[in-house]
Amino acid sequence: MEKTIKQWLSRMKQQLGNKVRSMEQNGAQETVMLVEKTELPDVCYFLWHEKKGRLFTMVGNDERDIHGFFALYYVFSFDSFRHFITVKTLIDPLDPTFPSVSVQLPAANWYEREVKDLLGLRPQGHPDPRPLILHGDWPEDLHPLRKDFPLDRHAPRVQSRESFMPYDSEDVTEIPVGPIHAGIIEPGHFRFGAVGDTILHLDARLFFTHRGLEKANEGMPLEKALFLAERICGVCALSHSTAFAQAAERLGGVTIPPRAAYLRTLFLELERLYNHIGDVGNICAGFGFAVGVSQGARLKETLQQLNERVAGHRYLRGIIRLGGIRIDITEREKEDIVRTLSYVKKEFQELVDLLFSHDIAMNRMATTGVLSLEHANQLEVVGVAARASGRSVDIRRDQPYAAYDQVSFHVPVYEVGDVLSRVRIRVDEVLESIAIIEQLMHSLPSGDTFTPLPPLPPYRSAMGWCESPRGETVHWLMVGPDQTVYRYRVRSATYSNWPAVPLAVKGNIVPDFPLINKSFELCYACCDR
Amino acid sequence: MFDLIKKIWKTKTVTKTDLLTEAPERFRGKPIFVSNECTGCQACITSCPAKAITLVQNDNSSTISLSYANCIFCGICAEMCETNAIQITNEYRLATKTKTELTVTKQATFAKLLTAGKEV
Amino acid sequence: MFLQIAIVILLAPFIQGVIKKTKARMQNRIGPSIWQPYYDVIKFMKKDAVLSHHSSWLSIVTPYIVFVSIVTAGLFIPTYTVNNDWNFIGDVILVVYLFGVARFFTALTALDAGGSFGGMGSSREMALSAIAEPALLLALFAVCLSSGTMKLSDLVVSLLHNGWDWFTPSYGLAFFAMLIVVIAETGRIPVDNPDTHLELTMVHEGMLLEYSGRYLGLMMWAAQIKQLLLLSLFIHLFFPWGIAASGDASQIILSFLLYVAKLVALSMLLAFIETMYAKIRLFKVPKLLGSSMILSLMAILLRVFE
Repeated sequence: MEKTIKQWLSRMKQQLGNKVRSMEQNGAQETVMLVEKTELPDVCYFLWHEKKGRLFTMVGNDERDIHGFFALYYVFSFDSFRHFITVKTLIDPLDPTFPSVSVQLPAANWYEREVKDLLGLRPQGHPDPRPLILHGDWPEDLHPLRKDFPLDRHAPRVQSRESFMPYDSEDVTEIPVGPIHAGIIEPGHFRFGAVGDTILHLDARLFFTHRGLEKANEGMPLEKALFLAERICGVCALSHSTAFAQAAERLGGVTIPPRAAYLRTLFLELERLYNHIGDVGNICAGFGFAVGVSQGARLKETLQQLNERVAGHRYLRGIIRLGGIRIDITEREKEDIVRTLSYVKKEFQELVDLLFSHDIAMNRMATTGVLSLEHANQLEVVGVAARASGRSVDIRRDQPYAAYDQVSFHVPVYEVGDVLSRVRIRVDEVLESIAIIEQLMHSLPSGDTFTPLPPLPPYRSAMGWCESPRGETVHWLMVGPDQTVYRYRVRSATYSNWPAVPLAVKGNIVPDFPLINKSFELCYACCDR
Repeated sequence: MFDLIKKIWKTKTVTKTDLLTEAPERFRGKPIFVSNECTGCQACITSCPAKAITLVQNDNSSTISLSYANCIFCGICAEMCETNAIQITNEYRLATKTKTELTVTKQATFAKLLTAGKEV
Repeated sequence: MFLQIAIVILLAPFIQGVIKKTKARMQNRIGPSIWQPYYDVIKFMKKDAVLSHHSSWLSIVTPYIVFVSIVTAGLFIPTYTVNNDWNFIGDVILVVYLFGVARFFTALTALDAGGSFGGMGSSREMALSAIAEPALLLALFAVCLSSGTMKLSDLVVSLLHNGWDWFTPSYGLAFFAMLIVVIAETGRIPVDNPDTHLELTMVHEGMLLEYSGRYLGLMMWAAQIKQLLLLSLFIHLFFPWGIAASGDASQIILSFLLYVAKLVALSMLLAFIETMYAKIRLFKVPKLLGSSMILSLMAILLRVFE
């Protein structure tokens, strides 16, 4: 495999010629290509279109303290080679602009808007240069993620520059919903353009729960940064802390002991279980099927009580440490897990049979909220929503981490892309997760549960990734000179999937929107950080 | 339709009217100070992610002060303590009537120098 | 007369409580107590009301208009006795149009505060009622044909005496037609979900979003009374046995107890139907109500030929 990657990389260097200033390794799986900012769109398009790379994440970094420039990193993942290529470019602070990549790569849209808001690097030719993270009522010249912006500075509010899609015809009703909703859900503002009850267009404004966690983490020692990473989202807590720990471990070149890897995988699958089962129950609330809601909620509660008995926390917080895992399980916990999971499997199967044989429920779910494969590919949608539309991405299989290369599991993919497909994917994945946990229990190795981390080299970056219940999450970490965080960028699955929701909603009726939203089940807090 | 009725009947009532019982053993609840000696190594203070434990310097003594208002119940302080003077219990009933009751303290003796905060 | 009004007003929250308790039990929960709607109405009456700056006098007047018109409709529907002094004033058509007045004002005032959910709720309610009202009238006509009168108390008396069989096909068809209409008019699943928190799917609840305090209390109470009246109508058209025909005290008490028992049984049936089904897509509700109209038409035709 090594030879093939080397040959492939050198061939790429030949094809790109002098567009690439230099190419160097950054750890075993990553190659960094330094390019001039004018060549950025061409190189990125080449990697995405010709070489079929996936846009993994994009990071903007204020590196003026290091060498006087800003830096942009566009990371592409090549699953078949299990390799990443990062396209890096340096931007002069005196001319903080760069040619926009999202003209040719629609998936880079939100990343570039974020970099413009938070760092002040303006993408030239961006199709949608509206403010994204800071809601347009921040002063235009204040950029919080720059190193000279202190964390506790209060920004004065100005006249809002926010704008939504204007409609010409008088028949179109503009319906604003939120951010305060009638039910207790996360805040988000949706503006529909509807003709009668049919949706023409949806403008979603999120980032109401933007807490500035990336900035808050800068300067924190790594062990404490782990706790902040856990608290980005309530239900993906374990995925985020695992991804962060893996980033730090990759920087230190540390391999965690096998028992720790198996235990991490076990708890990650437990997190996936309670999320998916809760989501299946929650979808029934979208069309008022009370029995489905109560049965789903009951099973989710059973699983969360299992989490509490085995790990000490219902949402599995506080069990990861850098270099391994903080808790260990004994025979008693193993038996508990096996017993509870066999009960849950039986009950869940009954719930699913009830749901799929209920005519009204199936009628509401089928053909609602279709996301086409073309849109999913262009926007680099990940997770359940991608697999339901026929896009087969699953980072557990494509770039294995923890103990996922030691277990065999099947990744379900459906073609239709409607609400019913997403529900079916969740149902299949629940059964797969239970099978994975059984495999892990059979072959759990003994040994240490953690290895200590060596001192980490400063100003080098690494990534950690994890498949959360919603899709793949990537944490990009650069460590500073005294073992503290220098730059931390979280790209959760929700961040990639939100741009796809307005596309799935077009043409459906307004009462179906909550159902479609619930079928994607995106957590706003993960997206907003 | 009969499957639905059968399922509802089989499940019976899930919610309870009894009062809460004790939390599971492994549940990470309130950390408490026990009678073991505190050597003043400050490992708990440097390792607390939420800065809930602080050192209060008096004229001729020092006390370790833990505030439940800031505590995130992660249990790192109990892991780091060399003499097990802090221990994690599974107590989840945390409500108090006054704010001052949310802070607990322990006298620290100085077997080690003040500057030796343990590197975590 | 005052006894009738008092019974109608005071019994309505109890029926709502029975429905909620049954639904909770079917979701394997313990659920709120049966008397909870009473506590809720009392709580709302004691609270201050907050009104939007954009609203007009309509928001203040409508809750009273709606409450009074629905209670007035309650004067014409027999509850525990068929003796009714108000018969000469109105009949079943008056009842349906008093409900119509309440619905008109509710829908109009929902647009008053300028919120989008009120507008959506109003438009959906008007679209559904455009079909639900004729469906209700047709179902009533199917039953009225037998006794040749539209006045409700005379209707019930003749049903009692002529003993219109259960097994006449037209009666059975009218039963199912009326059941569907009652579900649509009281706003229950599969037509509308009364427990939903999703404001984009609300029909009746959406029109109540802008009310608070005693206005909200009056609107909710009025909805519960309308529910009680529709259920009473249903009971007395299809299960009229035991209703008191004379002023005899013991007969009245017995008839009242029987009335409450029938109401409880019917509300449990309604809750059962709500749990078994889910909410159908909004555009399919006209089809459902259309099928109810066809059943009524068939009942009428059969009755003519019998």
